[in-house]
Amino acid sequence: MKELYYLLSFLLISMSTYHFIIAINFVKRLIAVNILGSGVFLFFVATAKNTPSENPDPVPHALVLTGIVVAVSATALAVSLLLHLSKQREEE
Amino acid sequence: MFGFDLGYLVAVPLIGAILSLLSPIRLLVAVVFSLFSLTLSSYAFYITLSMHEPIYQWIGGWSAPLGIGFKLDGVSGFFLMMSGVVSFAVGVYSLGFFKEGYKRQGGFFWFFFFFLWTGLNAFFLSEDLFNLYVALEVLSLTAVVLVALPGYRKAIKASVNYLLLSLFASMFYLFGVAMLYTNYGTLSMSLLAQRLAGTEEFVFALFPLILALSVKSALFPFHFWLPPAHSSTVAPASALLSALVVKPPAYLILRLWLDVFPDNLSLEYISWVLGGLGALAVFFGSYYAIRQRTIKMLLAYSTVAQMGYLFLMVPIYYKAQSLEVKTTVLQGFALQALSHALAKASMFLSSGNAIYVARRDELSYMPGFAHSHPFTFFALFFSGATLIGLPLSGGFVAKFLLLKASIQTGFLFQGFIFLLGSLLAAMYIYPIWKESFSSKPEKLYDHPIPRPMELSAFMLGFIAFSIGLISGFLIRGIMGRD
Amino acid sequence: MLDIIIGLLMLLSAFASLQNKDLLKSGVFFVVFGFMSGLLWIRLSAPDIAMVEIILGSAITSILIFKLSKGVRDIAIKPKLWRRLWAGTGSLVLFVFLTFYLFTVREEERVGGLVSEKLSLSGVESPVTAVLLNFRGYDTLLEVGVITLVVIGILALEPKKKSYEWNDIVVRRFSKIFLPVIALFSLYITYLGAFSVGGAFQGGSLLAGGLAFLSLSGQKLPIRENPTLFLALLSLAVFVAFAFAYALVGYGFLTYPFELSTLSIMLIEISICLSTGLLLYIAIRGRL
Repeated sequence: MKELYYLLSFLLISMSTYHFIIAINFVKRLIAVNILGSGVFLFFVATAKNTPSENPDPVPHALVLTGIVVAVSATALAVSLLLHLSKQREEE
Repeated sequence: MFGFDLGYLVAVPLIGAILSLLSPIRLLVAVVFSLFSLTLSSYAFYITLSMHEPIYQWIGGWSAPLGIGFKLDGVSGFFLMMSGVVSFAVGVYSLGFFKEGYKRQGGFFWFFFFFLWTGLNAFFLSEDLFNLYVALEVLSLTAVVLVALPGYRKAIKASVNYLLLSLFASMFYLFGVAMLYTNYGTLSMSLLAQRLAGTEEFVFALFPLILALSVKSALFPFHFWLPPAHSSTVAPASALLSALVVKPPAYLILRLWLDVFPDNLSLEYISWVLGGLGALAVFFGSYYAIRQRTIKMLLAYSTVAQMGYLFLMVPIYYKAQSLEVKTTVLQGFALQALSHALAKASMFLSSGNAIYVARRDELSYMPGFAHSHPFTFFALFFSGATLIGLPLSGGFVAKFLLLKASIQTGFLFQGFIFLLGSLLAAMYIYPIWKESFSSKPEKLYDHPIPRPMELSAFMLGFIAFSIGLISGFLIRGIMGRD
Repeated sequence: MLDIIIGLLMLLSAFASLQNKDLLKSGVFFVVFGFMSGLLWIRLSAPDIAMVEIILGSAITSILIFKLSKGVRDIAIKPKLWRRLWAGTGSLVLFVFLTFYLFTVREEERVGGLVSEKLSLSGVESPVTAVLLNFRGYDTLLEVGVITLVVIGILALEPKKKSYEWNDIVVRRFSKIFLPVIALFSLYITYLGAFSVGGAFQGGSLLAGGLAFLSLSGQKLPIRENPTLFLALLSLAVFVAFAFAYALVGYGFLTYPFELSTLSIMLIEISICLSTGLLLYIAIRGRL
């Protein structure tokens, strides 16, 4: 039963890797990276739950929180850069 | 613990970054905090020269596996010093550079400058795998911003490409770390080393980890992002990127090999793959460098080639049996990284000088330079000689050490590649020198280069070249481990 | 079971998001994906993560992506078969490799036990907050640095002229009414993080959401540029100040003395909440 969560995370990771390599459009790549991130976070959280005790392990929770914040920041930067790119393309 | 809190190495540049945003005192902050940070890094390095055991400092008083630890040993002290010296020199250069142009970016540049320094120090001090992930993000994201700094379309395109690839790699790195945590219950490298001994499960985590770190350090065939990124931005940024930002991921691979992973058959295969890719990096990097017509792209491809040397050493280290040979390889690795950092920074800064003088954006081989601006030419000469590995330079000593180690372990192929690499480097460095002597109309180069820019470029090149003389002293702290 | 349904929906929405040619539709499916992930976090006993994921990972990320799909035209280049082939084999190999890895995963106690043990020494009652702000506070310090860096980087690029506006009177009025409520609530969530679910990033992301709502309608906060920058830098400054000060007086870098730990954590958390909200607001707007 627990393994299903891991499998889901592996599916997400594999799927997003495939699309990342394939995609030529930067926005698609950005979405793929975000889904990849979610897959990795899912792996972590599944591990957090994979303990004999009642309570989940808080360390992966903290790590994933940090990870989400970093990922969103990087996405914000990427979007800002891409908007600049498209603005420049228009001005040509 | 010598009464010296390692946390200062992270806190001081960080405070410098924040304060540098206050425009009235910006230049003062830049000077003071650069000096302060350099002193701290130098002191840390000095400590490592005579230490016998690494120093651990557990942040918050919480030891592993609960908390995060700082670890200072010979290798990390050496790299801290490298980051400090190169950053400081680029800082001096930037004082002059942003007075002359890019005024808007200059306001923000110092924040990125100090933040990068913070990230470097944090990286080399850390012994926690997740902390290293965050430090890697600090470095990568700052690097992306530095690439995009000038604002040209070329730069922004290169930075987006770099950002996306870097993010992808970071996620894979995180995944590898997650695997290790899942199997072994800790993120601390020293604890992991204990828990990994005798087990086989960590092999799975190897692949995402090594793959991610290879992409980040532009190992062939994942090097495509580097040339556009490093060549499209302003000279001080290119210098920081090529000299410093590419090193930590390669360093981490070596660290993991050194300190964490136990002996294993897959490790041997992987080390051969890495070595092979390193050789290909030397070939193709040099080949493309030779073909370039503009100086910055040439230098960028040269970085790909020189990073290849670092990977070439991995199988040698793995095969080495005796402590003496392992130490030799480590020292060669460190010295090669240092020489390249100094030399490449010097070359990028010099090219920045040339571009400034010729008032053009790209310069093909800086024609006629030597006559009007000898200082910059000598910078190019010294740094180029280091990259080739001419005697007396740091590059020479590094290659010598590695040659010795490769012969001792029977890896004659690597030895051959080292020598071939020098020849190839000469093939792309020499045309730069030759062009500099050609006679072109003097009118192009009639205005002087600001002192800080000239001097810093020259000093870096000079130091790179003369490192060979004091290399024995410098590598004293670096020791292999059984 | 419920989890299987959520999982399937996650997979479907991820697939739909990645496959779709139209960027706008990709964005929409990505929002769905984010929501499903949030549900899954709750099912996996990770309410803190659910909160941050749904606001930051889903809502804010989609705002960013929607801004893009208005601006960026899709490039109609089909990837070559050769590329599809090696990407496909690579991903397949990866998946098989990972499935084998699954056999090595055991149920075991990792650091969780230690956290429960030392929780009383941390100054807070919530294990996640204890890890985030005390045991592994150094990670959080660097993380705050990363957000700050990204926003300064965005500011350093040429300022953009006009960005997307949703000039609807309902949106304008509601965003103005809601903002103070959201701000208060986000501070409350931050404070709550010491005892149960909540914390600085949860509150901060909520504040960011409220501010994003405000700026979507083309309005801005009635604060001038310099104070905005100051407040945005506040969390990094406060955090570093604490770390440095404690080192200076001898406790150690980022080492709280036990009596002051709760206070230190609270102060740092509040500053993170405020700054994170502001920083994300600046990131979405593209300017101060």
